[in-house]
Amino acid sequence: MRTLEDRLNHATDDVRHQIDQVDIRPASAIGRRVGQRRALMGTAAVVLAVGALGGTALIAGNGEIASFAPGAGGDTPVTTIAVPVEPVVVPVAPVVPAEGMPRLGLVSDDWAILEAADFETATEVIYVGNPALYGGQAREDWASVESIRDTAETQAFIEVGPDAVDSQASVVLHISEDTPNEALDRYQDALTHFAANEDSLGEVDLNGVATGQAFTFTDPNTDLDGYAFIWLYSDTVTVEAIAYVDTFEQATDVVSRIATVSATRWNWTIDYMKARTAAVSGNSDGTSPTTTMVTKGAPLPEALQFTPLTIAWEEWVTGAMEAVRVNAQNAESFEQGSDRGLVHTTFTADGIVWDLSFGAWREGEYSSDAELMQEQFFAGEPGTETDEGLLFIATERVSPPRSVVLAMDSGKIVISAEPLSAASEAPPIEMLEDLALAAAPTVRQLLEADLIEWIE
Amino acid sequence: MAVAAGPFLEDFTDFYARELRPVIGLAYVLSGSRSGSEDLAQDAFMKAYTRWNQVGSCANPGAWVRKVVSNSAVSGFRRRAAETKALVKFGNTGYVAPEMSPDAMETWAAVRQLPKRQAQVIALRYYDGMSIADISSILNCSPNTVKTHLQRAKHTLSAQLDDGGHQ
Repeated sequence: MRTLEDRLNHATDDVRHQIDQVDIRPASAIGRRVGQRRALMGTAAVVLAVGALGGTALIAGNGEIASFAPGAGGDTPVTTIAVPVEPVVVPVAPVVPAEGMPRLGLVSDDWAILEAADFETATEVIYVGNPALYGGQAREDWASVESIRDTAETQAFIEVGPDAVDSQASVVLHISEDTPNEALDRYQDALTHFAANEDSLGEVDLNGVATGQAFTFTDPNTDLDGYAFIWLYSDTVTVEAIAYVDTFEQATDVVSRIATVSATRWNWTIDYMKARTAAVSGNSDGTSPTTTMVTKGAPLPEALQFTPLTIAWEEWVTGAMEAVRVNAQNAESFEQGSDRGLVHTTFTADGIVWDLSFGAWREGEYSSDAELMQEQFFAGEPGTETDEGLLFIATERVSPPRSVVLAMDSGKIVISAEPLSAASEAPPIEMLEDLALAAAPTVRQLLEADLIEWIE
Repeated sequence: MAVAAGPFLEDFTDFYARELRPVIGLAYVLSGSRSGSEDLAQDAFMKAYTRWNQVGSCANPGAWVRKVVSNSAVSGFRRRAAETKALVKFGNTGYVAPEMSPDAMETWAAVRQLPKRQAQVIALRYYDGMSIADISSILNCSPNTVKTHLQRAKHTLSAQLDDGGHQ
């Protein structure tokens, strides 16, 4: 009988043999990709991939034209154009005219195409993606699209998943470049319409960034229930519609309907549209699958009292923060942004991409102290204490992505991790162990002394 | 590609030519994405290229690239795989994905089901033939930790693949 060693060795030989048969890119491809990646990380628009009846694939670059052989993906001629870092007018052709508004076209079981029907064709940028393949990283990709938004006049964005069970489809109609008074007028118009046709759920607040109203709605064509949010920013009105769907086809259908109806109803210009299905995180009882590490004998601080290593949560957190800070300061790349009261920092160190979110957690919501906390963090200061004491969230972009929360709660040290998509299983203990070991020598000591237990 | 190399730097092109295939293989066994594995390797070499003066002068540039690949293959590969899929769909990347035997595919699929660290250890140990010490250096953990991961991984794989046992 074969041993495991035999099997692994055979599998290795097979891979090596097959790789040897592959024609690989020349080294000169590296230079081109460096330019492309730099542009991708810059402010330029990103990727256009329009197929269906006439396709163009666009990838950002450093100004050079990078062409791929046409037609390899099917019958559609494909051109790849590199976009300079500065936004430019990109000729997009051919554009398929469609009736009325943009619509979604299903081209395979896991890709959808937003046909560029009603957009200003000279400036549009369309991104086609699939969050199911990203392992639930749709949020990050949305963020990247947000950063792109300001660089092109018209953009559309769609992410759809192939096996969207318990998923949502959403559309955002973004109305920008208004004066505050114009935005307020649009907002009132939208509210009036929704109030006349849908059931209001009341006012909602986007952590001080925007105010709005939430409504329930039912798509009469599909009988799908969903929610609509109308957000008023300082000079912008956004309508966001979310429907819970069962299938990929439903998602594309609902998104298309919402986009068409909403845009034509108010004769608004679509500055961009986002659509996606994304797995809704959580167990059937509404809780998220989590793995939590606590110290043996929890709750703290009693647990610490029986250990030969007396540590305080401040020490542990300080150690953890210091480890992350050192990594950040040695980062190979570094990006910052903010979203809904949380300040996000992304950096790459030693090939690992880290996302850090800073937010003060108070009364169930993130407070606006996030930026202050971030400043303190990178200044090496202890960090702002809040009522509930969330200090920071460190998300290692593992696959599937998991959010690791290092928190202090009433004197307890808690490391918890949860997946960011419903399809994911709870994070393995090893992940928390790795993080804990990397973060704080004191935790290493506790582990080695067998004074920490892991609870799944 | 002409890379300005210092007196102690290996030419990047030579380094690339020597290491690319095995690194693609490492990316493949860890990511399972046949079309994305070249992208992962390219990304790693791209990072090395942009800081070649630093990477090229370190003791083992090949280990540096493998570290990047082994981390990115188990983390961010999904997005790149999706991008690659789009390009494959709409254009020709010039890359022909290798076809593994069913047995090899099953084996590496089982490896990818392991926890991240265990999968990395198996891939580096068996695919790349690295020593425990080298793996511990790449994964930034102690040799004992590598041994523990290796033992756990082999135990799991033996059960899953229904082999006769593990060594």
